[in-house]
Amino acid sequence: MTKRLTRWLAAFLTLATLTLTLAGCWDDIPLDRRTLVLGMGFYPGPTPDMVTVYFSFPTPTGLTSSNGAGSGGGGGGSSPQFSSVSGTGYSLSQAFSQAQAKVGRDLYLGHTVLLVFSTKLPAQQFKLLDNAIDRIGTLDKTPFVAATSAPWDTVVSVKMVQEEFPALYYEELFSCPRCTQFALGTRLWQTSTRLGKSGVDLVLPQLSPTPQGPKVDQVAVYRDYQYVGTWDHRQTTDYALAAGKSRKSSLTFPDHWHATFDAVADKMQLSASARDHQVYAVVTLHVTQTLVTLDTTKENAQQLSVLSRASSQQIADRVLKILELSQKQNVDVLGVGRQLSWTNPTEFYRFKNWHEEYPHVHWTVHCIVRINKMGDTK
Amino acid sequence: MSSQQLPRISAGQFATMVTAGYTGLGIFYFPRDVVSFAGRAGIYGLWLDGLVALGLMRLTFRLSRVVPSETFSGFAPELLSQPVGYFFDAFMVAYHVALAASATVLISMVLGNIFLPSTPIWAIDGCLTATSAYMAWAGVAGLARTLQASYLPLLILSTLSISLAATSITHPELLVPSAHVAIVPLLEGSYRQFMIFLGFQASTTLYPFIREGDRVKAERYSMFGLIGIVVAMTFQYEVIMGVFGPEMVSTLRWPLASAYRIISLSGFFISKLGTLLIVLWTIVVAGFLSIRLWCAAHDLSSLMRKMRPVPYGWALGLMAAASFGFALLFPNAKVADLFNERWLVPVGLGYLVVAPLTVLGVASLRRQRVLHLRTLAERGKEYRSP
Amino acid sequence: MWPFSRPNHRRKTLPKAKGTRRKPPMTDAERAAQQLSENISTAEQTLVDISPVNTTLLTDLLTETSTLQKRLESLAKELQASGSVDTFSGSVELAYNRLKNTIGQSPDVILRRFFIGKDVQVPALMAFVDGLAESQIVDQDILTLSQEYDQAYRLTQDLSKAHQVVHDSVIAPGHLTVETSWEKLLIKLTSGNAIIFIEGCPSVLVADTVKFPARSISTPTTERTVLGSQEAFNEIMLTQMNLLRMRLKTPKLHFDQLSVGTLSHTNIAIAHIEGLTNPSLVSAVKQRLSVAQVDTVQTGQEVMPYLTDRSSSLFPQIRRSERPDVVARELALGKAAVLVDNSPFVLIMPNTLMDFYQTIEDYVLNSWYATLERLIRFLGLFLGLLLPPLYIALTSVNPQLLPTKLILTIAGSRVGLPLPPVFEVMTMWAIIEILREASLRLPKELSTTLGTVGAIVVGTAIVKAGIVSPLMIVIITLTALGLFTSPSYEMAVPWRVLFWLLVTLSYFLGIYGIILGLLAILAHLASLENFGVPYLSPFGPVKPRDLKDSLVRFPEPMLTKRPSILAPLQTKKSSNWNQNPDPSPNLQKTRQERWDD
Repeated sequence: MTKRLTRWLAAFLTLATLTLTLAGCWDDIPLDRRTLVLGMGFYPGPTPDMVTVYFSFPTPTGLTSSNGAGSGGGGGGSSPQFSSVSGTGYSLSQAFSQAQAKVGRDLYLGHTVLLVFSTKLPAQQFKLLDNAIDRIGTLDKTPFVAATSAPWDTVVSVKMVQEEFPALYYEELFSCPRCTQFALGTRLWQTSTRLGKSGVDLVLPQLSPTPQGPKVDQVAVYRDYQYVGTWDHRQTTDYALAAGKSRKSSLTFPDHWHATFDAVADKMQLSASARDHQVYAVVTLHVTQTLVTLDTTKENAQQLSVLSRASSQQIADRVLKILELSQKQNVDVLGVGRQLSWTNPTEFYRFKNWHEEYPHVHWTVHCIVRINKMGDTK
Repeated sequence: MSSQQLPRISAGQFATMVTAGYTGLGIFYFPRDVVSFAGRAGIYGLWLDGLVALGLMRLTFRLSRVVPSETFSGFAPELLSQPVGYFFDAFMVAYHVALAASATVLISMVLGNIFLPSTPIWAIDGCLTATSAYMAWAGVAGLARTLQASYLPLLILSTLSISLAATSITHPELLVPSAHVAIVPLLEGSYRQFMIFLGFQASTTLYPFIREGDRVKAERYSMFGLIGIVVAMTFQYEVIMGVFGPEMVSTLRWPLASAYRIISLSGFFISKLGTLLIVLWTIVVAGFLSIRLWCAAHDLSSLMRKMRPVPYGWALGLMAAASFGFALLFPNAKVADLFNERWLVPVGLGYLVVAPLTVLGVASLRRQRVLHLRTLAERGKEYRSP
Repeated sequence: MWPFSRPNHRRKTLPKAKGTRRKPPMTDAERAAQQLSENISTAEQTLVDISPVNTTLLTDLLTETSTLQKRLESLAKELQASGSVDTFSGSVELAYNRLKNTIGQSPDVILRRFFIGKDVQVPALMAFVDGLAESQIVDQDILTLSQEYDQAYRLTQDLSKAHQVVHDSVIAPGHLTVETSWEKLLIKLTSGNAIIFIEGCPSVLVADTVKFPARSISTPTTERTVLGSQEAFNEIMLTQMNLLRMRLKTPKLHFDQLSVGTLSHTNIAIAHIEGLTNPSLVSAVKQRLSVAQVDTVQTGQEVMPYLTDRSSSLFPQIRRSERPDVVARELALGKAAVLVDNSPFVLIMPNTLMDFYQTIEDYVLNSWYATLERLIRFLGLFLGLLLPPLYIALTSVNPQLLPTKLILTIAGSRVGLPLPPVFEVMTMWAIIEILREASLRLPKELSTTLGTVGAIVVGTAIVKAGIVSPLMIVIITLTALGLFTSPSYEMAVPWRVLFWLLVTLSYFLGIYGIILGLLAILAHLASLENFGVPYLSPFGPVKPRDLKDSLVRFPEPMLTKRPSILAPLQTKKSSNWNQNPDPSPNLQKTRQERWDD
């Protein structure tokens, strides 16, 4: 009796489940009915409290030419490889809905690899956007984040050296730290650990499209959510050295046998302490160098020791200079305040506003240089 | 069914089931609560929780040892007088269902947010509950085997993923816990975080199913399991702290999910391995749920024994339906969060202290009765078990 | 309850054994009366059926009635003579009549009357089935010798002991038994024996003249191996026993014979090794087979439901093998085997899921090879089972998991396709299944051509036609191949069914659905038990000792014990593996001499 009833119940439940599940298609949207958004650009809208969001995606032509045949199709074909839609609104979701209305397929954000913020974006908008992006379920925490002062169209329609979608190009660029001069790639989750957190400020790589192609050799610095300024190539090189993100910088010493070095700074240790309301920060850099040129045929021990002292001095000077610039602009690019809050929270929380304190931080820079390769000798 | 045909589980299986009986609920929130209260000293909160859980687990085993061959729900009315015993039984059933519902809501919300944004939450809930009920359907031995077989691959994948996440640790100095410990926030944080360990009271229902002679070993294994979980949690804590830093951890809704979601592999068929792992955690939650449903169904049978015996299958179906229905009442993740914080943690902790103490106290007073109950159970008293 | 318990429900669902042997013995009079009444009722039924004017039917009825009358007469005489319908009365004439009127009407049954002895002649009757009985034995060893026997007077001295004389001194067949019951005699007759009635002797001689129209021992076709033995069982149980005996010469190898099938009376033997196989397993197998109530057993499949705990499960629980070495190996591990006459496949029990993924090849070659093969088999299983569901999940429901470049490639290959992935999968799967089924049924020569041509032509055409994407062809081919990496044919079936469950689940819930589906499958596997042996062992319950021969196979010196899950009476399988042999003095000397080379 019970057995029979159980069977009926099981049959009923199966049938009910089947009916219910068959009734809707839910998340089953085949790829060809999705618009795969690869890059998103965030720009100020027509009024200060509005935002314009651009969504860049490959077109079917772009997809088929990227498939199999590869570069055979050629870049300058008749139909474009990728396209963008934009939406404007008071929030990300409003902008998204507006953009969605312009395309016939589901705008899918799960494959977004690049988020670009305009440097003109007001701080309040940036904050709201940061919060909204964090709440997009399908978007994970791995896309790269960058800043730009150029309009979106020029960012995405920049002439590509390799036949690729611009967003993918940047993604590849950032995800291979050894391939570029600076390891500036910042993923979304890394941005979130800095944005709006007390004691540390955001530094984003800045994309600057040029007629020759895309260029990423500058950084945009932010104080909280507020864009402060852009550091030029020289400053960016120094920043990269200071942050231990320099991969391919070269140092020259015209006074010392015309020596040139390739320098890799990949380790930076920061320690912060506070005594009598004065914060002391110690930056220790580990730099490995390769000797590239020298005007003597062979190097000797004395030369090397002179050179290593000189390069250590040069790097330390440059780092100190960029850190002083950051104090002048009041952006804590290395996160001294955060470091202090970890090691000495009571001292840190005594400061009401870290940005009042940061310009007075006392720096000590140690630079440990190791010349590990002599290059090919004749 | 005579007691001879009672399905038996080994010591290892018991430990697996008891261990699977907790961690399912709090794992996604960990270590947000301890960190937001205690900052970098949060790890002490976890260890404190672990110690408390270890103590309470010992106490729970002491409770089971009073009448080792009968479930707590079975002997409570006989030992503690009927009203008190039935109250405990009813409480256990309700608590298991509440835990099950809360865990269902949690995983459904995480999955609904990340994976299946257009799928209604009830469908995610329903499929999970149905699968868990099916797992529990096989009875205690079948369930134990399922858990044993499914946990090994999961363990390997989790280790792999957490190691991958560990490569993103940018602040190694955060791995050393702070020496500045503020006692009150630490206690508060660890009290809230105790959610991870809620649910090992399943052992009171599982205890009589352990093979004779394996009981001491089973208890020991369960303790080892708990220590293993604390060690694993410590690793997880360290990785999450080292990657995000304390300020960020306290703002994350599901730190574990976030930690997994920073993993991105290049050069493999699945690039978001961590995201995949979040779905694989369904296995943990399904294990947790199926043990809850099994216990609830079992305790319900004990509760109804005198009035009207309920077959195991029916009780299980009823409990699954109750859990599913309860889960539907939660409109969003925040409400579930509040429910856990305000009800599940205090009530669960209270129960874990009160029940063993009551039983042990009464047992020391009514020695004759205990003796009678033990012999009664050994003579092959009926269990309404799967 | 453990081991080898029988779950309760089985007892409830099984019909109570009610074979004639089990009933309280009828008295002969009752039996006769029953027979009579049955015949009369048949006649009555015939009378009711006929129309009053149909003369053909009337003629038939008359014939039937006269046959019935003859039968009844012979029965009555028999009853008169021996006091029982089932016991031979000792009268050759009566026996002849009885046989002639019943089984003798069939043209293949030969009834031969003859006399034993040259001078003194004792009437006798021999019956045998033409073709089943060896005519040489019948002619030379029985007939000729009987007729030329010159001391027939010894028979007449005590007719009731005449069969003893014939047995001892007259006829020559090696295997002779004595029987008195008609019921048994008739079954012996139809099995190919010659039965010899001697006038005045109530005991009937049964000469083993069984000639098996047997297939020669051929190479196995379903379980092929490169380096192993190339013998397979044939349909004859005796040969099967011989092949096993050749491999296990121990006197402890027992074959317990019984017969199942109310019509087929198929001989079934339960093979086991005494003192090794757990006796509760053997008795459970015997008990389950002895209650089997089926009319015929032709393939062995008929008794499977009696041997499995959950016969409704998709998963096979009894393993079938046509290889004597496999069966011998399993027997030596502590399992039991059931040999079924007329089926070249021997049933092995109890089994775990892992057993279906082991082949003899794993043990013929070294452990590296075996481990690699097993891992590949499981890779095949996972690819076959999961690739299409994963394709649906990853391209339709959860595309974020794939690398961006891959997803762009897939999206590119799907541009302009009319069908969503789920229908692509269905279409291709239907095509593959049809091709598979067709090539299985066709003659060998045609099937290879059809398979190749069909696959290539259909595959190319369907991609060209723009119905499915090229990637789908790759996926479905891998699926079709992957599911058949299982060494046992029957294991591919459950996965082919469950594949659809996973496809459906992945369509609705993506990866989440697949995981729930896999969990449910795992739960089902974990709930299965076969003779008390958990199906999912050694993974659930975890059995560390048995894990050494599961997904990976450890080298032989490390596999010294039999599987713990079978609970054999002797655990140790091998010992004193000489891992570092101490060289003999001579060998040492030779080696030393060669060191300088």
